[in-house]
Amino acid sequence: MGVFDVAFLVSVLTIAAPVLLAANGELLAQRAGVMNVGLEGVMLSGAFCGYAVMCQVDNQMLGFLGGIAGGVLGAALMGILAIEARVDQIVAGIAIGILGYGVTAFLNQHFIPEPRTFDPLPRLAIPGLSALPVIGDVLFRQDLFIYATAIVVVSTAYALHRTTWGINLVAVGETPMAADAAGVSVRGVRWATVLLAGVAAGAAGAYVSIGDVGVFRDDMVGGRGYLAIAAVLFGMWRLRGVLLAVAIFATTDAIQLRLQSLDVIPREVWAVAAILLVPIVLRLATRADGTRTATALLTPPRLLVVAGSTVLVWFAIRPPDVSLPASLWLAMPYVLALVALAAAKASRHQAPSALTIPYVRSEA
Amino acid sequence: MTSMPDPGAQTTRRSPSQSSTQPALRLSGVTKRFGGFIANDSVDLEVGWGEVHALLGENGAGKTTLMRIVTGLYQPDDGDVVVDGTPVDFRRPEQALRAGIGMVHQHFTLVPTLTELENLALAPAAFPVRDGRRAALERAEQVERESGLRITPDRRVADASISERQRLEIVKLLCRGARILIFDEPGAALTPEEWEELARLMRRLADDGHAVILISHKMSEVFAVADQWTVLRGGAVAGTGAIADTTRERLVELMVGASIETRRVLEPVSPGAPALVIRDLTVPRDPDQPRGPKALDGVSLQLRAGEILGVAGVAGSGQAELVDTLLGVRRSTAGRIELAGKPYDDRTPAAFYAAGGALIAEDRHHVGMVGAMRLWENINLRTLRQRPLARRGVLDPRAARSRARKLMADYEVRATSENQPMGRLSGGNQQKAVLARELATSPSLVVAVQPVRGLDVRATEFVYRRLLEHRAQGGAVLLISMDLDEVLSLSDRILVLAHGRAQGALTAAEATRARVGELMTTQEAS
Amino acid sequence: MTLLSTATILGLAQRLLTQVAVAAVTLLIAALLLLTIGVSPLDAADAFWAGTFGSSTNAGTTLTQAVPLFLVALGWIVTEKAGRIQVGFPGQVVIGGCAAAAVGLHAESLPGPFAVLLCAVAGIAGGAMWAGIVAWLWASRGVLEIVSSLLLNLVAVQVLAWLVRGPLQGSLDKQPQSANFAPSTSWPAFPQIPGMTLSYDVLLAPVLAVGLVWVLSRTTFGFTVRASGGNVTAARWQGMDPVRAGASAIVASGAFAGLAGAALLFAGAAPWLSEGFEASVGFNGIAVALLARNSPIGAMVTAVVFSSLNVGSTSLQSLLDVPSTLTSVLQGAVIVLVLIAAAVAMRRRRTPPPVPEPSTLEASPRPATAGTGV
Repeated sequence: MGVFDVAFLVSVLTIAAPVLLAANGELLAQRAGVMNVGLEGVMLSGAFCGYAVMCQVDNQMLGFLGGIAGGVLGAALMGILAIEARVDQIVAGIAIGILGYGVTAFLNQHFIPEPRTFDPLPRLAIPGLSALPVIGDVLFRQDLFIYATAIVVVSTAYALHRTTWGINLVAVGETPMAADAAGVSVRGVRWATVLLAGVAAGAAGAYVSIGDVGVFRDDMVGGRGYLAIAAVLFGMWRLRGVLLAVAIFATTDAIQLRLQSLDVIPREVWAVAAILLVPIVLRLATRADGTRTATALLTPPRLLVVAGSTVLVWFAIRPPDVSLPASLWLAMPYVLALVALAAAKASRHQAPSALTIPYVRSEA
Repeated sequence: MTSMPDPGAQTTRRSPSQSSTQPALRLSGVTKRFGGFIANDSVDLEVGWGEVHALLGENGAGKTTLMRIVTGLYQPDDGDVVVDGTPVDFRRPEQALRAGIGMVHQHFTLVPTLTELENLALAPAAFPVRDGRRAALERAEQVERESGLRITPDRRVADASISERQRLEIVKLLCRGARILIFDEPGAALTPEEWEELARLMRRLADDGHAVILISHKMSEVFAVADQWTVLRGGAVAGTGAIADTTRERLVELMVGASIETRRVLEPVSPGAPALVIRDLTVPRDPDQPRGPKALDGVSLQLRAGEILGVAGVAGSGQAELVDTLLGVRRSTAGRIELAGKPYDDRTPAAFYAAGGALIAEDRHHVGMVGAMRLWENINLRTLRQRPLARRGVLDPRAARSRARKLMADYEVRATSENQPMGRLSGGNQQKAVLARELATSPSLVVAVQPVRGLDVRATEFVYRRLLEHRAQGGAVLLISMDLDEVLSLSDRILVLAHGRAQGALTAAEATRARVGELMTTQEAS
Repeated sequence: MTLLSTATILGLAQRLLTQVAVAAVTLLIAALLLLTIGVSPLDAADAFWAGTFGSSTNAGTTLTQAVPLFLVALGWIVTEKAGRIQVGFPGQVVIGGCAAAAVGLHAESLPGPFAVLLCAVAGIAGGAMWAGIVAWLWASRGVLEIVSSLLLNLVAVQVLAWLVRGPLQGSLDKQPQSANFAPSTSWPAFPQIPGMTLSYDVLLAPVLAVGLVWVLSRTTFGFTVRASGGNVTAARWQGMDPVRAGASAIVASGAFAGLAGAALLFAGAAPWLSEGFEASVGFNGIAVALLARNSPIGAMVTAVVFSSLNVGSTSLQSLLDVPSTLTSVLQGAVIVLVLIAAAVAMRRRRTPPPVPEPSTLEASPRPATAGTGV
């Protein structure tokens, strides 16, 4: 399999899990109308609190609970600012981002003078399934956090699409007046989702510190919070889209890690890049009424994307003798997200209508 | 989620058919003040089970405030609200809902991205993890059996028509057990057939034992369905009684006070050159679907200098699209427009004004002013970007301020100074400032859309006077209004829009309420 | 000119009072944090003063470091007036810095003033170009500017990481940083200040502040920008082009941020391009503008406050072993406090309940104002 061996797939999952969990929580909050640009700070808070608890009790379960508490703390601040004080959510998010970094680094520098290292979460093999070839090693020999993330994502899908709560949540983010008129508490739903997003981001942060690496460093979340937000936007506020976005991000990141040891970009990488462009091409070819036509691709910017993917396919067949610096690979997910946003002009129509807009009753 | 004791929920549930001896709703001495302004002054109202009660009144008569009290959005300062014999004290809308009071708002409280069934399932849930769709579907089917109202469960609300949304709104209320239904201007956006259907439904609901309150100021609607009437004027009850014992004239008189002067005497002005010519203008309803349903379908009109052309029609007949197209904000698919004798085909707002156009927009706050900017900046919103107030991109604020002061005096704009933010002015003064901006440049064409909406009597009179003065000076006015009396009293000629078509132009002499009203509701033969 | 009315004076007084209150609460938080780590706030105040304004050398550093913050704040103010929320300053600072560095590394042969000017222009161009992507995506593709600018921040970080390891890497060992810039390309420093810590670029601050105020209040461009920011629909219906105004404002704000990037490199203590040279200036600049309530003149003061927090924390760390990240805590706290103060003031103003609007005969749903992407 060349570059893409089992270890590679495992690293994709490990990279994806915390981003996915945080994005999953943020998706709920954004669907209810609250955008927390400071998710990075919330994750840092979770990462630090988890680590701090670990330093005290050396128990991973309690450590994660501490991380969740840290996340909830950061999210609660967002709730107070966005839902109660009704301030500009973007600016509030920036503040939480700065605070998250400052407070955790401050506390870490002062209260934890001696850095400690813990064992990462143990990997649990699921009996039977783990014996399957490839899949068993990739999917069923993981740590508890990754299993938990999978469960959370599935229950989010269920909650959003199969419960009254999901309907209420969508209504609150779309037409809060309608939810209010139906007796659904806009404030209540928003608080619930913001705090849930805090729980998710806190746990994800704790995974970054004590679950995966076992240490805490300043600013160690390293942009995963921004990535999670980007995934929600890139995913057009749909769970499936978020999953796809996180998959793309994690894959590029894992490839980047792998490429650092290689001189030439192997053909598999080009093939994967070409495959990743397929959904974008398909989306471009989809007209507003849902039908697909090739003629929709005949506009200059769209042709560019089509041409790009053609080149990638060609490279997959005959790899060129070039290497791309690691950092440019790291930038790839964001560039892809930008291209996708620009290509799907209709994307903003899929954003919850009341996103970042505080709700004030009356004036019906 | 909501488990706290609930004063509104104490009334016992009763199926509508078991009519009780108590009136459905009784208000006594309900008073509501906003600062010094009395919105409702000791209002008494009694609505019985099984009746359709029309609540009439002009804009600002206090209907909306009263209904907000009944539905729990406002709390009365004084007075009692009694529902089916039980005094209630609603603090929140949910409580009114639980007591069986539901309101069909003009702006529907529906979530467009959800399906119709999901909109019905929208509710505070004790067990939020349960799926309320199945229960909602069962209730909807029950409502369909009882009232004949059918929904399309899996259709997205965004894809439903206005009347279908209204039906869903009614089903939603019935599903929640509403027994007192309030309809706020329900006919405003409906076609005549749709209105007929709604009227039948209201009768049926009343016959089944519900209480129906119809807020309207259209006499035809009231006399078609209502049993009882109450007229509000200036926040107080001006009269109440049975429809059978009254006449239209009597109700109109109660609504507006003394008999209104129906037609003001327009001084004859000999019309000059054409200021605005529209030929066969066709505009799609949805800009993204140029071949879809049309908002304007082959509309032609001609307006000469020194003339006021009134455009009458029920809301949603294409008036908004006509204005949008004139300003170039919306594209037409066919037709030509001439402004002041010159072709005006490359349409943008800037070109409209450059060709001598001016606009008194319907939605002042949204379209006509920048609330956070100062009065002098708003009065000079366009002139400030041209000579002589701006030279080579540099403004002359001193000259602009002095121009603003002069116009404030001319147009009786009352403000602490020209530096006051526009948003802080009263509605009447804002409209006067808009008038100053639009009329001071002596435009050849003024498009005035609902120019007195929400204004008090004095400001209204002022606006009318200015528009007539503009006409006397040889200007042309396109007056677009949903208020038939306004159109009748100001226009030299009247064009009626119905379903996006010009249904005929009448001269002032030919135009009577009845004639115009007939054209407004012309059936579309398509 | 009319005399100031009592209402205006009261308004000013109230503003000033909230500013003071925010500052006081921030100081209180600082004192509490210091106490928890066992440092006397009084000692800290001494060390802080010594580190920031205690000597002319330190004061020079404080003022010089305030310039980039102030420039970013101006960028925020421009977009804020245009009603756009662009948060791509970190990226624009980085790209502006990279562009300036790319030019600066090759400009040693030019005479001093030209080299300095060229670097500054390169920074402006870089930042404007990076913001131009945001503006283009917003204006023609309808992509929300918040989203695209956040994503571009992350791209810019990687571009910088690549540049300092690739094309712009210095020849010295294998450090991820560029070679040192030639002295001729750096802003000259005031010779009177020992240590030459005060660069001439501080003169940019008052000039640009006054310039921006003038442009916003006295030019048709500024007027269009403010009208578009105040009410997009009204601006459009009045014949303005709010999309162009918004896009220009975004590009202009990027230009300010790009200049900040150039200033960081060519007027700072470290004349080379490295990862992390941006040092949170991009986001802190927003805080500077917020604290000044989006007034360009006020931002001069708040930028100095913020840079003294940065500079002072260094001396607190060296003298009293106070973690330097205290700055970030305080900066975050200040934004939160300013937001809350604004929210409280807003609610205070709104206390009289609104007189209900009479019921309206609304026409068919108005068309969404296409192309403006509110």
